[in-house]
Amino acid sequence: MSRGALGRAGLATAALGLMLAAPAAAQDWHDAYHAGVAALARGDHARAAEALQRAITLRPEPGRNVLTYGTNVEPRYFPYLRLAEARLALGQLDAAREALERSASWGTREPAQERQVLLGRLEAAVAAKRPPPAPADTPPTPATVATPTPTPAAPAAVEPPASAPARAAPKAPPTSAPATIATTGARPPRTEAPGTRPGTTAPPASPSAPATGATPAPSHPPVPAPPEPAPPKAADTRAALVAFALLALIGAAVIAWIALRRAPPAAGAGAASPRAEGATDAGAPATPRTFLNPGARLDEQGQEWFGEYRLLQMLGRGGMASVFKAERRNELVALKRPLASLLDDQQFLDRFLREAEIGRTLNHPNIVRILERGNVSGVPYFTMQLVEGETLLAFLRREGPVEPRLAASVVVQIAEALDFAHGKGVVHRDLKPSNIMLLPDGSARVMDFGIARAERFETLTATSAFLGTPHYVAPEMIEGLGAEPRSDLYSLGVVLFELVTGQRPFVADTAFAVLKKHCLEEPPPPGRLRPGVPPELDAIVLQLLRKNVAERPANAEALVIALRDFIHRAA
Amino acid sequence: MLARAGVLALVVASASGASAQTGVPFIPTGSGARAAGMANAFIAISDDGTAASWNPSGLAQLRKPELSVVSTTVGDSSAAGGFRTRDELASFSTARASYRNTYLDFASLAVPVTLWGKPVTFQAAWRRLYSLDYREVVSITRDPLVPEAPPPVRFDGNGDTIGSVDLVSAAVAVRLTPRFALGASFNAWRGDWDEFSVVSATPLEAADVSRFESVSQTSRVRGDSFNLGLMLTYPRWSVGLLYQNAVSADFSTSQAVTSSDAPGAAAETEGTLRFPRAVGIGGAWRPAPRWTVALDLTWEDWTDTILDTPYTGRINLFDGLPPDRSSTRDTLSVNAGAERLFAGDGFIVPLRFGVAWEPQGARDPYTRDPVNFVLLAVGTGYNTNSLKFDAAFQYRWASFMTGADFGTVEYSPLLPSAVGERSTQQWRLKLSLILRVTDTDKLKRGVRKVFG
Repeated sequence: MSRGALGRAGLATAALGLMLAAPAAAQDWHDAYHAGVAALARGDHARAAEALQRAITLRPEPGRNVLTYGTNVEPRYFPYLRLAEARLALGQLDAAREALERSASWGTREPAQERQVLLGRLEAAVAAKRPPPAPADTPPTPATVATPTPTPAAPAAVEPPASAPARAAPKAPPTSAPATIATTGARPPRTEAPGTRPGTTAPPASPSAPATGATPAPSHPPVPAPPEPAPPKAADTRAALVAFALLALIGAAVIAWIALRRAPPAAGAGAASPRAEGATDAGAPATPRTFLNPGARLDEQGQEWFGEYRLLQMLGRGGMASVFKAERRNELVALKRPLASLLDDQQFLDRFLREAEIGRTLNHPNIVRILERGNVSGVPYFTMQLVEGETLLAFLRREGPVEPRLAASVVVQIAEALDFAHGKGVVHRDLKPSNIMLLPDGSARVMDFGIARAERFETLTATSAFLGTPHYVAPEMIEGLGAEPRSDLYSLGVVLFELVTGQRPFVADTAFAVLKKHCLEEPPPPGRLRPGVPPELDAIVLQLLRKNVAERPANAEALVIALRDFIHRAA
Repeated sequence: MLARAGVLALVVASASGASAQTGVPFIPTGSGARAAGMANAFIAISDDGTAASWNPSGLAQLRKPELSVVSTTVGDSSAAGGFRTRDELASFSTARASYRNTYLDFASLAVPVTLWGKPVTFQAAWRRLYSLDYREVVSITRDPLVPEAPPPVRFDGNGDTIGSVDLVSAAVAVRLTPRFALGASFNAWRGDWDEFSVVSATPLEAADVSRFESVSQTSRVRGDSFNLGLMLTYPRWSVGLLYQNAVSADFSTSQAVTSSDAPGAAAETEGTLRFPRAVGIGGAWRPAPRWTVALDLTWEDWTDTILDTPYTGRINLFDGLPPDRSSTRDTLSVNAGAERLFAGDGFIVPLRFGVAWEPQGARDPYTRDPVNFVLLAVGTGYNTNSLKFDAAFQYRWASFMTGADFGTVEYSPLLPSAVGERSTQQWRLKLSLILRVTDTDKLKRGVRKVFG
């Protein structure tokens, strides 16, 4: 062997030796983040928290389109929200709160909607864990005395002002907890295994304070991380309390005023009538009391009327509106009107009517037509074609998964309806099996076109509770980026997935977890869940379920073509 | 390689093949429009599929498989002007030659995996180091300056070259710690090219007859080399170190010469060609989140570029002189570049620019005037996480004094018959397409589908 070859062999051996001998696995912040998100998705919350904590240590600043290496970006780097989610799942409520506070300190770099939802979950968890109030004269136990009690330095504000000092918050380690601990002399352990000591894990505040447990966190009530470490002054606290009391007073007055203004206008429609309740059809959802059906009135026979329409039966009730089977001059229609609680929301009412008007323009054989819109005693409504049949949801519950070709033949009709609507600039925004009617002749029709927008994210943001179903919503809508025609295609992809497999692509214990999966998790090919699904249909479904809008079919027409092609080939 | 200088050099240097290399930008740069847009300052960056051609350790930064393709269009124009015989009896008209060539420059597949708990990236690549496909036509006239000077004559040259020198590489890089990466590549050199040239001298006064010489030559190179690289990466800056060992290649050539002054002759020879080693160090600094500034220093051991055959003996490839008398020098190149990324929703548009100082090892043995290329580069592109299209434009130029002999007279590099100035301008347009497989599950499914 020549000297050159020997040299090369030696170098290769040395390189291999060095590679094997090096102790630590190399990892970047995006590696850690992806590992955390993946662990979160598979339910390994302890590992997720650990990885996300590492990601935060390596890169504290969250954001969208964050550069990773080269010209690659991480589209959604939200480590604090993911960490809060993991902490919540582990029952580490204080740590979850701290993660949310740190998320809030970055302002809009992490989506406020998700933060709000997590905060709602956190509050619910805290309420669930809170012990029943002890009698006032119960003396404190020794254990209570020994437990470090953090000073309520400031309200636990999740949304900080978007000012520079607030941004600086993550760079300073939480100071209130160590201070409290120092006064009591009871220092909690420096570090702990995730999940073993709920509420004691303290995420590092900055790269200079890595996740080694160097900064212990309080072990009990949530302690906010104030933007500035200066101790709160008593006068400030008093002023805050006074301001809070004033705001509460004003709020109560406003609520009282609204309640008084909404007193029943008509004597006949005032009190709840047992007779009216008894008049509902057996087996159908009970018609709510008249108090909840403003604009309705009862005739002598106890029959409920809404303007010229006689309400025969409640067909359904959602979070925002009710649908009745109604009759006018021997013509049967479906009548939809908002819930009473929304009648003061003028913006909602405007949208309700505007979208109803848009729906009237959609005259297509695969769309349930909107016939008329109107107003009864200030309550808007619209009527729809009453279609005999059942919803796809009911069909699925009864029949389970269907043959791929049959599924495609149903979905292609929906795609044609979407193509027509999209061509008129209308996006459904809430496509799901309960909004699709299957008629006895096998045809399918889409319902509630254009209404969904009024029923969507207000619920998510205003009440921290997602009232609609999260199973069909497109990732871009979850992220608050708005809906576009291809958002409907995503929803249709979920419907198709469910039709052929009998299950949804993303299933989780909570609505929030489902939403997360929509954003982060790749769906399995339907064929993996149900053998016999042709790869061609797998490909169509997976393309519809792409996270990136641009990677979905260009439009509904393209989907129609693809599905027809599949149907022909399957035949 | 020898043909790279083109027929202009052939005419100027009288087909000797010696100082023909002078003025040719010979530094074997890596591939990729991103690097090219930064004036080749990429040793400390090397974070895409073209990394192995710059610094193999940079491959360790990859997190997804990348498929890369690079094309290059090169336009070269040279001029030889102001030449006069050393005895000041005659002058020469300015001669110009140019060529343009487009070729596939680079193709690679890089696949990152995790081994022993560490990120490891493997890459297989093919790279066209020198493309030798072009044709040049040139004409130059010698005019007497004084009555006793030789009569005027026109020299015409016509040359065709077909071939290339390619590398087939296998590279591996490992990230040993979050900050430290090591990489190596093994390169198999494969060079084959054919040259055919005709130089004629036509007297412009009727008394004389034309003379000509035609040369047909086939050359072949087979060798291997390896590159070692390491990289230190920090959030705001990184440092890269590169070592390219010397190529020791088997070289063979067969030549046939036909001349109006002598009977035809053919010769074959075999030997070794040693191509020099190089050491590079680069630094990259990120003063702001979307800004990168890079600086590379590369030292090349050109004096070690040795051709050793029974026919030539041991000579420097560039000037044809024994190593101890060679005018070839070692060089230190300086490349500086910057990149600014403009982010849109799901895409990035980069803006790159750079400048470089690229001294060449080859010099004219008589004038010993250094040949220093100045390079300006700009680049841009459209990058998404899965598809990256980049374009770069480089423009380099140099001018230098050189000696020459003309026609078919015996050539002496150390004592040429004429001296003048040569200038070279070259532009390169590089286009890169990198496909980054972000959905690795899909890739796995595809592999399973293909291989069962």
